[in-house]
Amino acid sequence: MINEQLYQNYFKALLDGNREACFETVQSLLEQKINIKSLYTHLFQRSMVDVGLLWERSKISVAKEHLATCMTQNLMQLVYPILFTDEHLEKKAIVTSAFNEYHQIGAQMVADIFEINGWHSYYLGANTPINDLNKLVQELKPDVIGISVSISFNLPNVVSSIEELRKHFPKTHMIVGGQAFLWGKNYRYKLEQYPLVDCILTLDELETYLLNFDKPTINETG
Amino acid sequence: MKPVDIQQWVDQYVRSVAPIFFIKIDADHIIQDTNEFTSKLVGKPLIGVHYKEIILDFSGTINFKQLSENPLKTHIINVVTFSGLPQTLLSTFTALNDGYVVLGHVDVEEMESLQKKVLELNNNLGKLNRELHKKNVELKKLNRLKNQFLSYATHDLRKPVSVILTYAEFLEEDADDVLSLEHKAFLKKIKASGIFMKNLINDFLDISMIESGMFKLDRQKLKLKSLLDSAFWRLELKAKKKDININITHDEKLPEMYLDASKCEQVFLNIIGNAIEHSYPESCINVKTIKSGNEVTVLVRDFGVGMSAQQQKNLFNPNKRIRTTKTGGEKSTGMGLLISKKIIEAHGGRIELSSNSGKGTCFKLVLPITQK
Repeated sequence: MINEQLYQNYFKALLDGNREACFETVQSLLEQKINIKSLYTHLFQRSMVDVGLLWERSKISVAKEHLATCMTQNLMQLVYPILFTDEHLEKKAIVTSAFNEYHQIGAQMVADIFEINGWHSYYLGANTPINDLNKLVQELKPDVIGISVSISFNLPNVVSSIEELRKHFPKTHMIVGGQAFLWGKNYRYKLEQYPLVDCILTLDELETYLLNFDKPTINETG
Repeated sequence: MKPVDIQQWVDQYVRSVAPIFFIKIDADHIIQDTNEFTSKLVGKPLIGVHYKEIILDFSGTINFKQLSENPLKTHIINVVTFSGLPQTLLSTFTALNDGYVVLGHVDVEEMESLQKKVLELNNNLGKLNRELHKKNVELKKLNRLKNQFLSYATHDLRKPVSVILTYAEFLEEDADDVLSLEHKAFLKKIKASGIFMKNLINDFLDISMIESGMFKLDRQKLKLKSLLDSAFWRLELKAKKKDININITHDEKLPEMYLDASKCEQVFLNIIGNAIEHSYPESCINVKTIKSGNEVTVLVRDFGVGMSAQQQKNLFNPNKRIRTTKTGGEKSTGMGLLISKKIIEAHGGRIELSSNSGKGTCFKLVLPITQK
C-alpha cells in the first residue's frame, strides 16, 4: 500500500510543512484499511528516522525537525478512532519517554502497538521524572513498563530509571527501545544484564514479544 | 590572496547576510538606510518611510534621544512583519550627527524557551487527545452495558406487572359484589398504577432499544389514513371523557406509504393522546393530513394550555424533564415525545411544533414518501 512514490511524496510534504497533503495521504491509507503497524513502520517511523538523519547531517534546521514531529503526532491522531477497542486482555503496560527525553513519537507508537494487541496501555508522554513514573507504577501495577529513548546522551537516564524501578518493582517486566540504541549499542548489552529487561528495537520485535509474553484470558463480559 | 578589510567585511555581512535589524533614520524620523534582513522581515521597501510604519509605537513612547543615551543598553521594540505577526526585537539606539541608528536582534534565549514550551504543549495535547479517545471507547462500552441492564431490568419487570394487572382485572370482574366501595376504590388505584407502570416499562424498553442502536423498523406498504383512524378509535373514549371532539381531515391524494405500522400508530397515539391531555374540556382537536411533493404532513392542532418558549426548547431533550399542565390531571412518563421523535426520524422524517401558552399547540409530523 505504501510504495516508494507515495512515501517520497509524503516525505516531501512533511518537510515542506504541507499538513493538508500529509493528512490526505494518511486519511486515504486509513480508508483503504491499511494495517496500523504497517502505517506506523513504513510511513511515520521511516519518515521520522529520515528527518532525524537530515538533521544530524545539518541538511535541515531543528525547527523543521520539530515541525515534522508535531505534524506526525497530529497525523497519528487520525488513527485513534480505529485504534482503541473496548475488548482488552487482562494486561497493562505503562509506556513513557525517558527522563529529559522530549521525543515522544516512538513511545506513542509503542503504546499504540500494545493497544492493537489488546493490552491496556497508559502513555505518559515525554520527559517523565522517575518519581512520577514510580508513583504510577505503584498505582496501576502494570505487567510491563516501556521506556523509549531517542537521543543517545539520555541513555544514562534509562539506566538510572531501571535501577530505581527495580528497587521497588523487582518482578515487573521492562522493555527499552528507541533510536538512541543505534548509537549506544553498549547500553543495549548493559541493560539486558538486568533481569526481566528486554531491548526492543522494532515494532515487529515488540509484537513478537507481546505474542510470547504469556497466554492471557479475555476479560470481556460484554 | 588579497587581505580582507575587516571593517568592510563586517559591514557587508550586516547588510547582506546577518539576521540583524538595521535602520538609519534622519532627524525627521524618516528611514534613510537599511539592510537586506530588515527589508525581508518587513516585506516592503523602507527608504523614505517613517519609522512608525514599521516599528509599533501607538502611544508615541519611543524617544530616540533618550534611548540613545546608553547605546549598549537593549530595549524591546515590536516590528511589523510580512506575515502580519509583529516580531519582538532587542534593540540598541545610537545617536548620529544627522539622526539615529537602530540595531536589533531576536532574543534567542526567549525563542528557545518558547520553542520548548510549544513542543511541550503540543506533546501534552497529543497525550490528552489519546486519553480522550481511549476514555470515549470506555464510555461507549459503559453506555452499552447500561442499556443492556435497562433492557434486562425492564424485561424482567414486565412479567410481574402484567400479573398484577391481570389479577386486579379478575378481582374487578369476579369480586364486584363482595367488595366494599372503599376496596373497589383501592382496586381501581392498583389497576391505574399498574397501567402507568406498564407504560413506563414499555417506554424504558423503547428508549433502551433506541439508545443501543437496536431500534429496527418493520416497514410495510400501508395507508396512513387507516393508521390514523385506528389511533382515533383507540383514543375516542379518552376524548369523550373530556367532551373533546377530534376532527380528522385527509388529503384525497394521500398515497400508500412504506411505514412501520405499530411504531407509527404509537406516535399518533402519543401525539393525539398528548393533545387530549392538554386540551380543555369541551374543546376540539384538528388532525389534518397534507400531501406536498414527496412528503406527507400530519398536523395535530389542539386549543389547550400550550407551552412556553422554554418548555418548547427542552421538549425533546432527554436530560430535561418538562412539566406541562394536563387539564385532567393525567399521568405520563414524559418519554413519549422523545420516542415519537426517534420513530419519525428513523422513517427519515421530522417533528416540528408551534405553541402559544394558553392558546394551544400544533404538532407537525413530516414523513417522506419512500419506495421501500
